[in-house]
Order: sequence, then structure tokens, then C-alpha cells
Amino acid sequence: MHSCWRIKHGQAESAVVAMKAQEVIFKGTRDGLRLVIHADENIENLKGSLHRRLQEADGFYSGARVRLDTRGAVVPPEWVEEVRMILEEYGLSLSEGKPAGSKQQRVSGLGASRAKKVQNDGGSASGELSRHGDTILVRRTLRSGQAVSFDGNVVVMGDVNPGSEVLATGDIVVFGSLRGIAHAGSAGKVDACVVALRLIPTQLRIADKITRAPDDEMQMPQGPEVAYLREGSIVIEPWTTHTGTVLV
Amino acid sequence: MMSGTAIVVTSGKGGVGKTTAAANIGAGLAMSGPTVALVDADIGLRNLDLVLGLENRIVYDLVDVVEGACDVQKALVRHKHIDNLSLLPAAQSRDKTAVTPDQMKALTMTLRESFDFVILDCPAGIEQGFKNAISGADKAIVVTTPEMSAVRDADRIIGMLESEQIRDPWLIVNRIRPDMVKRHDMMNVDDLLDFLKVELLGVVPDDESIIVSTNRGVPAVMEEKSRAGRAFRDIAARILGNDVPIAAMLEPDDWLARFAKWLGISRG
Repeated sequence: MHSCWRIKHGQAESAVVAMKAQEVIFKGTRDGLRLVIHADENIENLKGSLHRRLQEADGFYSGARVRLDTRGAVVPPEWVEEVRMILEEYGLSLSEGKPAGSKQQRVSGLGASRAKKVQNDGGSASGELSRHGDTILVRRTLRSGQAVSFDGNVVVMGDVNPGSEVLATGDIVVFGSLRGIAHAGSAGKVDACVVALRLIPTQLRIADKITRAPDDEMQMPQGPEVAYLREGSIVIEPWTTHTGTVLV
Repeated sequence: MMSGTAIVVTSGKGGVGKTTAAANIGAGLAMSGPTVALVDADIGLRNLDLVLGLENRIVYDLVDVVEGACDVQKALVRHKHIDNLSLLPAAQSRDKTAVTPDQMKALTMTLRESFDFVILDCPAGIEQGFKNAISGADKAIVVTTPEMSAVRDADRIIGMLESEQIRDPWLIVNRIRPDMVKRHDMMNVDDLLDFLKVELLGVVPDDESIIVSTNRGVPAVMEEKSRAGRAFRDIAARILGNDVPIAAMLEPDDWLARFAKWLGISRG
């Protein structure tokens, strides 16, 4: 069995990876200063913008304690560390614990406190988020409104529900049902693939191609499937018959 | 002194039966013995007092307590039929910004000292009101109906609860119509659980009698014959740790009921 989704040619994929006007924003709230970052940015851009913003501020924020706000997205602990280092360079400090005011950002708060733990334990995998080389392991279900974005491969042990998003510059493996949005090879890697036990995404993106679920009722896949690019189109095949066209 | 359990009843989407569920769970629990405080956290859109038939007894409200205008014991309204059930009504002339999550947390802590259960009725949405309501809770009950939109919102809420460290919420599927499920015109509970992957606390059938009882200000759990009432009594029993099977509610009406319906006899 082999299904092929039609690609929406000429779709402005750039919209997906486009630079946000402001990757980092400082927000003053009743409970203190918050640093809002867009988790779908890559870390280098974020670091650049953070440097720029702090330079522009010219010491204005010096001495401030800042809470990190990732707008509900899960970010790798390394990011938090990078941000912490830059902030400290400019005389700011990153406060631990739950971000003030906006509670939905606890996910990132978790990341912040765990970042240290990972360092101390030398990379314990007991958390919901752990990194192994160029791959990040997410041991939880991503629910509506949550997102993971990583410069590398992403493995999710759980489901990716509609309204949630996984973005990876490498491959995406979902050990569960992929019902949300997955974008593999987000920086243009055309041999990236998406594998899921049940591949029923709202939308699938590989490199600069986008495809979406058919409007009419979809057949439930019988087993694990893989999506990859073949001759510029996203194709989906059962994992068992997949003979490694895209894997090296 | 043993501290009580604070449970928030939430859903994300409005109109799925949160307030009715909160009232019935509170009443159901209180009817089996424990002391229960029902807290209406829907400031500005209070309803819980109506469902419990206590509107005309309100003197002080939650915002008065939080602002220190009165003692919490003074603001609590005791239910007229169930002695160990009390309501802390919401303020109607204020809005969600009148209290902060920290204040709600402190209030919940106070109530937990004198009640076995504190049931918080959460407003719809994911903004300030939601954040207030969940801030002091140790457990959450997520109410949904078997519609995709409600289920999506429930999923979002479960994610947000998790990031607030309120894990493993219980799920109530409200307004199930077994006949429609049987015809595959409605999501069944198994599909729903496969999607949300949380523990099922109960299934409440779509029951006209609940509209009647809500309007009369008498929780359905107090009505012996109400099917929804029975479902909520079972839910209360499960919260208390009793092993009550859910399967019965998933079956279409028994033949007797259908026969009675055919004859035009109402079962109450």
C-alpha cells in the first residue's frame, strides 16, 4: 500500500521559517520582567537578537531578574543555558521556577530547572526532555498548544496531538500517534523523514514542501509509516516496506 | 489536622457542563459524608449559586474574602438540604482580575483546613480566571462532551495543567447519547480516551432531567431517578475510592426504558 499526497506547489514555505520581526522581547509584567522568546527560531538567531536587544538597551536592564517565557513551547535545556550566559554577560540574571504571570510557560520553567540537573547528573534521562548528541528525546505527549523545536532530530515517546507542532532540522520519529504538525528538515534538509507508529498528521512538512491531510475521511494506517521526499513530493509508505531510500 | 483535597473542575471550552458537574460532584460527595466547599471561581459570571438554589442567600462573596472585607466562614453559604455542603459564591460585579493566583491559592489552603473537599468551578478559557482557579488545586477533573471541538480544548487544558504540575487529571465525558454512539454518529468513549490518554472518572448520559433540576436549583444527584444524577453519584463514589464500574453507562438504555418510552411513559 502506498499513498501519495499532492503537494501544494508554490506554497510560501518561507512563511514557516521566516524570521520573526522580533525573536526576543522583554516584557514588563506585574510580577517582574519576562523575556519572551520564539521557540521556533534557531538558537543562533535568538542569541544574536538577544545580544542586539541588550546592546540597544544600553545597561537599562542591568541587575534585573528575568523569567524566561517560551510561550508554552518546550525548549532544549541548552537553550536556557545559552540565554542564561548571555543575560549574565549583561548583568542580568535568569530566575528559576515558574515564569510569572503566564502560567502556561511552566514547561520552559521545567526546562530551566532541569538544565542544571542535566549538567549535574551528566545528562540524566529521567526528565521529560533529554538530549543525546544531535537528537532530543521527548518523553511525553505533546498536547494542543505545545511545541518542540530542535536543531537536530526529535524523538517523541508519546503522541503529537492536533494543535501541537514538532520542528526539527533533522528527522522526526514519533513513537505514538502523530496527529499534529511535523516539520522535518526545517532548514532545508531534503533527505529528512518523518516516522510515526500512526502517521495521521494535520500537516506534514519536509524541507520546503508542505502537504496536508486529505479533506475527505482518511483511512487509518495499519501500522508504522514513513514520510519522505521523492522527486520533490512528500510520499508516505508503510515503514516495513521502506527500504532505506532516504536513510544513509 | 488533616488537610482536605482541592479539586478543580475545568474544560477549556464553555458550555460543556462544568458548573453542573461541579455542583453535582460537590453535592454527591457531601451526601456520602465528607464536608465539601464548592468555590465558584467564575468571577463576574457566577452560576454555581443558581444551580444549587442558593442565589438569595448570598451576602458576601469570594472577592470580599480575598480583599479582607469579611472572614471566609462568613461568606460561605450552607446548602439548604445538605448540611455538610457549603458554597463560596463568586462576585458578580467584578471580573477575573479582581483576584490573583496567589490569593486563590491562599484561599484554597484556608478552606482545605476546614473541609474534606474543596471543589473549584473554573471559568471557561485559558486566561486569568483559569489560572486563578487551578492555582490552589491538587487534582483536576476535565469535563468534555463527545465533540471534536470540546475534546481539542480538553487536550489543550490537560497540557496546561501538566505544566502547572497538576498531573493525571480525571476525565468526565458529559452528554453522551448511547443511541448516537451506536449509530456511529457520535464519538465513543474509547476513541476519546485513545486521544486524550487520561483516566476516565465517569460518563454522564445526555439527560433532559438535568436541565430541569438545574433550573430548579436542585442538583441532579439528589434526584433518585435521574440518570445523570446516578452517573454523578457514581463519580462521587469513585472520587472517594470506591470501585464502581463505568460500563453500564456506556450501554444504550435498557430495553425496559425503551419500551416505556415507546409507550410514552416518562421515567422521570
